[in-house]
Amino acid sequence: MIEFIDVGYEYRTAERPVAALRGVSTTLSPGELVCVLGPNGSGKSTLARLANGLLRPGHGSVIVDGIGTDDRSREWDVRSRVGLVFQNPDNQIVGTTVEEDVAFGPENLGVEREVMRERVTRALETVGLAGLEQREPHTLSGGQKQRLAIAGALALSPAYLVLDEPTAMLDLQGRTDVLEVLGALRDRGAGIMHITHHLADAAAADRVLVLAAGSVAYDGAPSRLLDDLAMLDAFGLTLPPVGRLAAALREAGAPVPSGALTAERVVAGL
Amino acid sequence: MSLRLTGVGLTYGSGTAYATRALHGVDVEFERGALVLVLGATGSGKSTLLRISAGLLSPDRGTVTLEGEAVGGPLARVRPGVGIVFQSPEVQLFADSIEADVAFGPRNQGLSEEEALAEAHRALRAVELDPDVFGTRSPFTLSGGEARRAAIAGVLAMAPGYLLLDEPTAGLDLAGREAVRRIVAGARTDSGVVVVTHDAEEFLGIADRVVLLAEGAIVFDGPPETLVQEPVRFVEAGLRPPEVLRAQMLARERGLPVGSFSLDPDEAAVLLAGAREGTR
Repeated sequence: MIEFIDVGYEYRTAERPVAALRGVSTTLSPGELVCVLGPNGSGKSTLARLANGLLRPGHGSVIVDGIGTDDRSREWDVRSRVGLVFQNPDNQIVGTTVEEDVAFGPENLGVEREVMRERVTRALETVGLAGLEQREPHTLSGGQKQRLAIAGALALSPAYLVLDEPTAMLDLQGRTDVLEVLGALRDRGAGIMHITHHLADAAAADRVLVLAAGSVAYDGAPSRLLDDLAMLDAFGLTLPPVGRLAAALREAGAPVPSGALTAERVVAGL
Repeated sequence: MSLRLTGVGLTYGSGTAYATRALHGVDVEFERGALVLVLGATGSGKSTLLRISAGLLSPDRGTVTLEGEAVGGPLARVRPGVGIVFQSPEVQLFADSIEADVAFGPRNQGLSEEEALAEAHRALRAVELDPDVFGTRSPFTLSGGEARRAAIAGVLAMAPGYLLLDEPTAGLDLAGREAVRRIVAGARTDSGVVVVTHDAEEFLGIADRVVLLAEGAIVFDGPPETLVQEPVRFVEAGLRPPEVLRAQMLARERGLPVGSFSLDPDEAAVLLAGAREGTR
């Protein structure tokens, strides 16, 4: 489990320190998909970077499977447990072929050749890029590139995967493909923290964490948040149009299931 | 007054084993005062169309005319009068202060220091950044949404007759997306505006016209309302229709008597609830 215990973090700027997170306590368990929402500047990216020790908390502690991220002697234990994927896949791809790119991490850790091959194959299968091993990464679509970046993280066999707006640069198809991969990883027992500003992504999560001005504003089931228009409004979150359609239909007496944010779920009971 | 592409085609890597036909037989006209939404799946030729319109790429075939005059040639150059805002333009902010960054374009156009600064301030106001507050700040102190708007101001400051934007809202939060949408909608009072995006939902409601691309060719060019009533065209172009429309399509497939479609969720709810009543 990743535990955030009363975590605070400040960025030092020339003028004054800026608090990015204050008193944040939450967890990420294996086999759980947690969606983190909040406006720009609410501290989402800071939380991601704290999860694998890329940043160390200024206050409180972050503990990964019992190891504090401030324990520098165990830095690599933490890093190998928590994979990080960022928004722009172009900044995360290093190999000249798909296969080489995925092998970069395990190769650097001195993983045996046979084990590495197997890991690369499995990682590419998981993200649906099997068969593209010899392609040059720049010939891939945006969604494929982001899935390649995820495969690169998976090749290190992390127990947890933290993704900072992995779908922000992708089209709808790319987004859907990445979300499917995240769901499949969760089903296999990985703990997934998905940072996003697409409220619709929350519908597929086990839990939703809303950050506002560096603090936890909501931590609970997605349906309770998604059905509560007043609460969404208070957090500066707006339902996508299909969510407003669901709410309006419900008001008109139609049986629309709770937390419905896809066309299929909205019309299911009509 | 228009920016016009006639019979335009472009193949990347022509004559090699990697030849990819990006665009073919494209006839399209962008007029001053109108906001045209260019939609298409990944790889449909949207960005190529935008780059040819901006003069950054020369087509293999066809012609491009600006205000009736043929432009372009073997050397692709950024045309005066056509401004382009690339994806994530904020990574290109470079000056020490925001106003200096925005004034860079007009100064290069030959305006005096004073005139360039006045243009920069006008552009900053247009993107809802008060020059008195933001003018002298470093671009690196801006939030993601503010930086995006400052970058758009850098192009607006050159008073382009045509403003082309590639995925202008990608990666922004809700408040940022709404601000950019307002700015883009407002820009058509001075320019012809072309927005390339894969997110139809975002701009369909404010567009004057929609151009739909599939595999390098235009498969639809008309008012948004027509597209809303025939959402299957999205599917044919390899795009997923906006979710609200898809709900109505699904309801009709399931036998509900859905007569017309609406993009507006409240209106769509009335139509769907009515159709549901009708079957009981």
